[in-house]
Amino acid sequence: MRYVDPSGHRQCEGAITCDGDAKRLSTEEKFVLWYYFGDDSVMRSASREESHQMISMAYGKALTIENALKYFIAGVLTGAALASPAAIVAAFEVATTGTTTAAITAGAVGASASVSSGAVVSIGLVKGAGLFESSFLASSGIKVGGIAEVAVKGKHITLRDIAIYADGVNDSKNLIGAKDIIQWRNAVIEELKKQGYQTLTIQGIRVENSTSANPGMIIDRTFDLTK
Amino acid sequence: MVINNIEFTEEEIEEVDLARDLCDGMQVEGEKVICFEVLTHLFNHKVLVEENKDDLIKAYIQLTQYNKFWSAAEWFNNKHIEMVTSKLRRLIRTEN
Repeated sequence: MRYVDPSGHRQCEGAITCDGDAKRLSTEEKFVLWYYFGDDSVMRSASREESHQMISMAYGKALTIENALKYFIAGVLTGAALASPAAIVAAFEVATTGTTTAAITAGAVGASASVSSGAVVSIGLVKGAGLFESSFLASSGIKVGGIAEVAVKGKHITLRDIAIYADGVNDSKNLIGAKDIIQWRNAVIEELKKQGYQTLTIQGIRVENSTSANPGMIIDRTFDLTK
Repeated sequence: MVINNIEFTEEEIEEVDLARDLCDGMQVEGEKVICFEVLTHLFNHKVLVEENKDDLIKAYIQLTQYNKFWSAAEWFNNKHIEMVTSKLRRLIRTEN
């Protein structure tokens, strides 16, 4: 089976090389892809790196496989974003106009270094993915953020299944407090107000790397953004 | 602050206040989050342990769920709320 990756290079499953690039997936990896995607049709345009990235996501639960797939379809699972699952989020530099995404570029890893603490690093809709991403630089220098499914109905915006993450913590513990989460939440609210939304509903929240034993909370909370 | 011989530190009270802000107006699985409101009332002496056992037990259960949720994130500092949860448990047990 031949594949064409985004760079235009043909790749061949099961071959050592094809157009100078190998695409060998183990039986286990094929099973993972089949298990999560049902068939391999979605993978036909994926490069080897992208395939392996999605597999590592499925194993490592850095993101849900559903979100990984959305990122891939949105075309943001490329370049620097492949460096690590955590970098995928950091690689988003999202600019929004109104309720629609004006631009998304990958490869902005480390851009937060020039952002002072307490400032929003990124916020907005991820183009074509039906996802809302936002991040905030806490006073500890750690970037806190979240990715959520988004639904917009008039002036009402709903964020579902928010996956909260902290970027740059490595093995450090206890770096982020409730105060930081509140600041991040308030930054999101202020941005949505600016964009003209009148209400925000949050449904479902979990932390990155949560497990089936600790899957998160089925929460429901609505904010009046007109106040 | 000392309630029934159990001391709550300033940091713990402050963290409860922050968590209350974080969870204000929130429902979890259809149930209103009351734990931080109950604790705030307790700290302000608006709630007496001996007269509000049911609310305190409900608050304790919600606090354990809150702690479990954040336990998946090692980067999150939840030690004060965990300590408050432990102290609330002692308060409830002492009253039995």
